[in-house]
Amino acid sequence: MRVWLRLPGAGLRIIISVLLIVIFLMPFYWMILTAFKTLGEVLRMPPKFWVDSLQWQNFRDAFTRINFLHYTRNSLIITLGTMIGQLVVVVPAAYAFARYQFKGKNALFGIVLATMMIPGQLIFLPIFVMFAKSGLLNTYVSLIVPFIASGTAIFMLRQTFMQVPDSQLEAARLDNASEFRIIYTIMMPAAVPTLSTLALLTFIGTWNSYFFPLVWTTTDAVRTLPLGIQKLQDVEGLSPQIVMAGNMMLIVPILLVFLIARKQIIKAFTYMGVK
Amino acid sequence: MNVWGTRVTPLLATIALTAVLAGCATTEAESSVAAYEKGDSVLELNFWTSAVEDVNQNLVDQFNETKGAELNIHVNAEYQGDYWEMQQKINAAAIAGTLPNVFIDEVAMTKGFADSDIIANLEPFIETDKFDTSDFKIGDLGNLYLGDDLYAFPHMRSVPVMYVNKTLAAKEGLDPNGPATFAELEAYLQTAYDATGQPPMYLFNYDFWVMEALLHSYSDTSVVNEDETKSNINSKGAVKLITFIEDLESKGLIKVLGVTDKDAYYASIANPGTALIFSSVGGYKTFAGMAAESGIDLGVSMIPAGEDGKRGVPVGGSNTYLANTGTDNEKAAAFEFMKWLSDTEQAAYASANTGYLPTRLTSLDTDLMKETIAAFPGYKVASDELEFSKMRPMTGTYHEIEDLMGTRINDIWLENLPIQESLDTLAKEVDDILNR
Repeated sequence: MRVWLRLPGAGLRIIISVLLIVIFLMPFYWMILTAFKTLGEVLRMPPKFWVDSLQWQNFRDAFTRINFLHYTRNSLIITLGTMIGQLVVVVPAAYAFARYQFKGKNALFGIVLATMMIPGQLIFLPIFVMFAKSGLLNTYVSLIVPFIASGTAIFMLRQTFMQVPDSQLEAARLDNASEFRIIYTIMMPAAVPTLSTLALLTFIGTWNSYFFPLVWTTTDAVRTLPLGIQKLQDVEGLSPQIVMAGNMMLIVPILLVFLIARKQIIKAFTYMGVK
Repeated sequence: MNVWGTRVTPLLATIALTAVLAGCATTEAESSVAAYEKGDSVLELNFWTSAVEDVNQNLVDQFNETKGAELNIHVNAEYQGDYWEMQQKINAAAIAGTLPNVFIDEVAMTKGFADSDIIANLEPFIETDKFDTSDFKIGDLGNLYLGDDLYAFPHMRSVPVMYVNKTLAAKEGLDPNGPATFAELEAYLQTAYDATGQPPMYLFNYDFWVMEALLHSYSDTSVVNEDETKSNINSKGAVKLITFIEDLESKGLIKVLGVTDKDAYYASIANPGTALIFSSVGGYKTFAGMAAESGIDLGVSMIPAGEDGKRGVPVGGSNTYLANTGTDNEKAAAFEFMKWLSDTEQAAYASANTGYLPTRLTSLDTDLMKETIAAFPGYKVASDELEFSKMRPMTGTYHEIEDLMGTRINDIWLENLPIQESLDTLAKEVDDILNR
C-alpha cells in the first residue's frame, strides 16, 4: 500500500491499473476469443488475438452435442435446492449460536468450524456408501443434502446476528414475538447483505462443483453442467473452440447473478470489514 | 479448461481406495458356470463406458437392436469419464455394492481389479461357451491375463507411434517417414530447427506410456523388473535416455511440456513448425484432421529403433471387464454381451471410427478395415509395429507410480537436476510403492 502511495502521479497509477485490468481480463478474453474461432484459427501459430468472423456455430455445436438443457436443469435444481436448504438450516443454527447460551455451545461451535477444514475427498466415500445403501445414488437429494449445513455460512451469519442490539430482541420478546418471528422480522433483515453474499458464494460453489457430482453420480439422470462440459471435451476430442463455447455458456449465469447482487455483496464486506 | 488439474484430487482418492482394497485377495476361478438362459422378461445389464463415448453408445444400440433383442438382454450404457475417473468409480462402487455388470477401463488395470475381487475370471465362461480366444492375438496380450487365466477381453488397442509432418519434411528435404533410428533423430530435428527456428518436437512426459516405449526402444529396458517388485528407472539405460532427452532439450530440439500443457501438446501437432511428435495411434484420425486444417500432411511411422534395431512399444487402450456382481445368469448374460462387443465386425467398427487398432485378426480382413487402411495408411504402420509390442506393468499401484515418475522426470529436465542422483531417489520412492 505504501509503495502505491509513493508512486509519482496519477498517470502512472492509471497505467498500472490498466495493466492489471488487462492481466485479469486476459483469460476471459482468451476464452471468448477461442469460443468464436474456427479450429484452424485456434491451432494457428503464432496465435491471433482477434477473429476474422464470429463462429456462432460453436455455440450451436456445444448446445446440441450434449444434452445441454438437461444438464442446465439439473444444475439449477441442485443449486437452488442447496441455497434454499442452507437458508432453512443455517439461519436458525447461526441464531442459536449468536443468541443462546447452552451447555457445550463453544465445543459445538468449534466442531462446526472444524468441519470447514475437512477436505471433501475424505468424506466422499463414506457418504457415497451411505447413499448407495439407502438407494439415494443418482438423486438430487444426494447432491443437495450434504451441502446445506455449511460451517462458513453459520460462522458468517453468527457474526452478523451478534451485531443486532440486545434491546431490539428484548423489546420483541416483551411483545410476545416467537423466536421464528424474531428471526424473520429482526435478524434476517439486518443480515440481508451477509445472506446475499452467502447466497452468491453458494451459487458459485454449487454451480461450478465438479468433484462431488462426478463421484456421486453414475448415470446422466442428475449430472450437472460442469460434467456436461467435461463430457463435451471427451466427446469432441480436440475441439477447444466448442469446449470454450460450452464454458462460456456455463459461466453466464454466474456473471448475471454477480451483476445483480454486487451492491449487496460490497455492503456485506464493508459491514464486516468495519466491525 | 485444465482437465489435468481437475483430476489430480480424484486421483489421490483413487490411490486411497486402491490401498483400502489391496487387502482383498484374488478369487480362484470357479470350476464351471452355467450358460446364459433366456427368460421371458428382458434382462437389464449396466455397462459403464470410458473414452470415445459415441462409438461405445452406438455399439450398445446395435447390440440392443440385434443380438440383445434375440437374447432378451438390454444393455444400459452409462459414460463415466476417462480411464482414471472410471477406476475411481469402480473402486467406490465395489465398496458400496453398486458395481455395473460390465465396464471398460484401461488395459493395465486388470491385476488391480482382480486383486480387489472386482472382476471375474473369464476362464469358466470361456470353457462353458467353448469360446475361441485365438483370434485376439493382435499384439501382446499380457494385460488380459493373470497367470494362465483370461480376466478381460480386449476392447480397443493402441500403440505409441511417431507422427511426422510430411509437409515440412518435403519442404526441407527430410525423410517423409521421419528418422528410422534414434541415432538419426538429432540430425533430423536439427535440420527442422534450422529451417523454422522453432522447437521441432514436443514431449508430454505425463503420458508415461510413451516413456515406456522410449525406455524399451532407446534403452532396451523397462520401467519395473519382471515380477514388478523393483524399479528400473535408475538403471543405466534409463539414465542414458533421460540424458539424451535433456541434451536435445538444452539444444532447443525438444520442448518438454508441463502437466497443465496437455492441450498445448496435442495442439502442437497442427503447428507447421512441428516436425515430429510421439503419441497414441488412437488419436490418428483426430490428429490427421487437425493437421489438415493447418495444411499439414500427417504421416505415421514407427517409434525409432534403438541400438541393434531394437524396438519395444507397450500395448495400450482399453479392455472390457466382467464385474463380480449380480446373479449367475446376469454374469452369463454379461459374457454374451462381451462376446458380441469383441466380435469381428464390432472390433472393426470401433477401430474404423476412432484410430484405435482392431482387437481381432479377422477384423483386419473386413471390407471396412480394408477401406480404412487404404484411406489412412497409418493403421497399417501401427499394426506392423505390434510386432514389437510389450505388455504394460500390471501392478495395481502402477498409475500412482506413473504420476510420480512423470512429475519427477519433468523436474529433472525443467530444473536441470542431477540425473543419476534424482533417478536414484525416484527409484527408491517407486520401490516403496511397489512393496507397500
